[in-house]
Amino acid sequence: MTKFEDEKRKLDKQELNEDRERLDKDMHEKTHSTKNDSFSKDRTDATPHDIDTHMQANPGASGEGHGAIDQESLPRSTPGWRILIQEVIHDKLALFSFIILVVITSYVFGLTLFLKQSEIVFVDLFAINEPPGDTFRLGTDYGGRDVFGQLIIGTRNSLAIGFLVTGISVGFGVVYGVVAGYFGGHIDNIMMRIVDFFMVLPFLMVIIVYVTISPDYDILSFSLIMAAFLWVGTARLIRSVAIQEKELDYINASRTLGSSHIKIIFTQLLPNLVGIIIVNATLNLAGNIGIESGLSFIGFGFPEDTPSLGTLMSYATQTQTLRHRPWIWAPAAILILVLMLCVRNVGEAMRRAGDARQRNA
Amino acid sequence: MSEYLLEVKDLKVHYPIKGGFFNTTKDYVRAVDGVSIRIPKGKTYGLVGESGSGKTTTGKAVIGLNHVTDGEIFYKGEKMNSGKKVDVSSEIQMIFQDPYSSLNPRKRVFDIVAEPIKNYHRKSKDDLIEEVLGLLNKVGLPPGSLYKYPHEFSGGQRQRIGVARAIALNPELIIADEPVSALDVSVQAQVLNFMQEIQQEMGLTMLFIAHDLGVVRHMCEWIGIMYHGRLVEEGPAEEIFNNPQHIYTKRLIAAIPDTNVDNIERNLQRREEVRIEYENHFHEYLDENGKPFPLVSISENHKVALPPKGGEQVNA
Repeated sequence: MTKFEDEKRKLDKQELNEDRERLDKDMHEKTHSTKNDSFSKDRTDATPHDIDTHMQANPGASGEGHGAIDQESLPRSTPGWRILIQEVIHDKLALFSFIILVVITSYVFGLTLFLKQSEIVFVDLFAINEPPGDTFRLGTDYGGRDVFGQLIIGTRNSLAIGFLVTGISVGFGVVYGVVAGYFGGHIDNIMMRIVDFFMVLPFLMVIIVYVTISPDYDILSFSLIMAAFLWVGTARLIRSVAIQEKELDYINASRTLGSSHIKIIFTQLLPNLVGIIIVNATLNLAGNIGIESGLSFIGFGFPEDTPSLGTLMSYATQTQTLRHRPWIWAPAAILILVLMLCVRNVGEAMRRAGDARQRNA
Repeated sequence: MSEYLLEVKDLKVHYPIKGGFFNTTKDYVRAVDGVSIRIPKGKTYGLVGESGSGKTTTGKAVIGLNHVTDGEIFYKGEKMNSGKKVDVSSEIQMIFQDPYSSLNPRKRVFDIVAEPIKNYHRKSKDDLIEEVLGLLNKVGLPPGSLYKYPHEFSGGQRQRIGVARAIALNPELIIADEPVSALDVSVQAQVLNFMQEIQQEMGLTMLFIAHDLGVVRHMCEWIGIMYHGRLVEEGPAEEIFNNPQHIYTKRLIAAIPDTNVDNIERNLQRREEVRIEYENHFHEYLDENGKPFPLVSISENHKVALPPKGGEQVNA
């Protein structure tokens, strides 16, 4: 906390003149003195240092309050996004992970603008199973398709699915769970029975059946069918935390202050759940990319002409490829690992930023 | 009727006890079971009782945080409850017991104190800042605390933030639910004195819920003593302290510590007498359900829950 304020004061320093700096320091000391000297009625043990000098230095501040206070001398509020950035920058591992994540994502999404999926997946029987070389940077698979191009497009597809599924399922699950947890009673009962219904459905089977009978599906529809089953976990988790949180007095206080239920849920309750939401979203993002890769790996994700990290990995099911041609599947495996770790590190730093007591920056 | 700011008539708050195979209602916890309170304007009414006696439930029911099973709540002669629900009013505010859980840890002081103002008035950001600074000034917090988070403050300072939030809407009635019981003794007096100052300055009426009789004596003009969801004695503070009639009140008052060393022997003896009387006769003051009897007026203002036979038991 002190570090945080020092940082802030450093930032403000250029703007502040000497007088203001002194004032700021006075306030700082006053609020941090454990004895509450400035508040006690009889300040018997107050040393001259403790006496409220800013009152003399700045008579405006001692006025009646309304309009009498020099607003420019107040410490600036730090906006939430800056706190988030500060936290990520402070945590070197998270910063490193974030840079890697951004580089990979932008590289992949940027490069796919110039790569044609139809060209990449074009079968060339004269160049099958070539090891990495000048023509093919990461070699070719058994169809003579460029592994590097497939990797780029596959990563884009996998990331897009991961983000989409996570966005939809966490977004819906959070709202659903927080409403159920906050209102409780019959509303909670009905809403949770619906969740139970979704949980007993064998969701992998449903997705496999969908993939089998659907003539054509794209990233969006595939994401939607996955999200339709994955929101329930988030909803249950958020509900349980919301139930704990709503018992606290600040929710009661908001009621007595005249805030509506919707306002309390979204401005009071939800900010206190940010930590768990971010952790949940991060884990889900990693998990969803995993589920997609897994489905593709067993052959029920995307077909080979829509590469993803999973389809590349699934080449490893052939013993020959697994043993003698690691260039086909190893880059995809490493990329999955790196992406998961980076997402997790950044998520961890964001979780800390969401909780003022855990911040490092 | 209009001389009382708040009138509570025969308030009952019952909670069902669910159980059995079909989760049916087996019985009720009668947290508050027929409490009537009248608070004159500008006065402080102290609600005292042991833990679990229903004093907090009463306070929360008045402000609308609990459902009301039965009874009526009148504020300025207007009925506040319809059925189970009690209306939330900007003129009734509450100071919470725990200054740690009653402030949202994710909100800055400005957001916390400005919340009620935003709910009822449309104001520009600059006006809000000005108003919040005025309130902080009133409760003795430096302007520098505006953008700080609650965890950066001590317990006493947090309670001041709670008070600032409660008085932000210029309420007429404040329900103070054990506002100092979570604070250590050195800060208690500070907060109490400053609450009294604010009360006088703003002409507030207060329902002061506490279990500390010393605090109540310091703060309140009227006192009601609760036991198991009912009032056992009610009257002006001095009357209650000097002339307690109910055995439960007597024992509570006998338990107040005295700092005068010369009185040690006398106090011990008095406590022993009260203890014996309490153990021998307390059951006579309760009905067959273990609840106090209805209140009976014994003087103009003083009401006691005496057994139906009248004064005989008291003399016994």
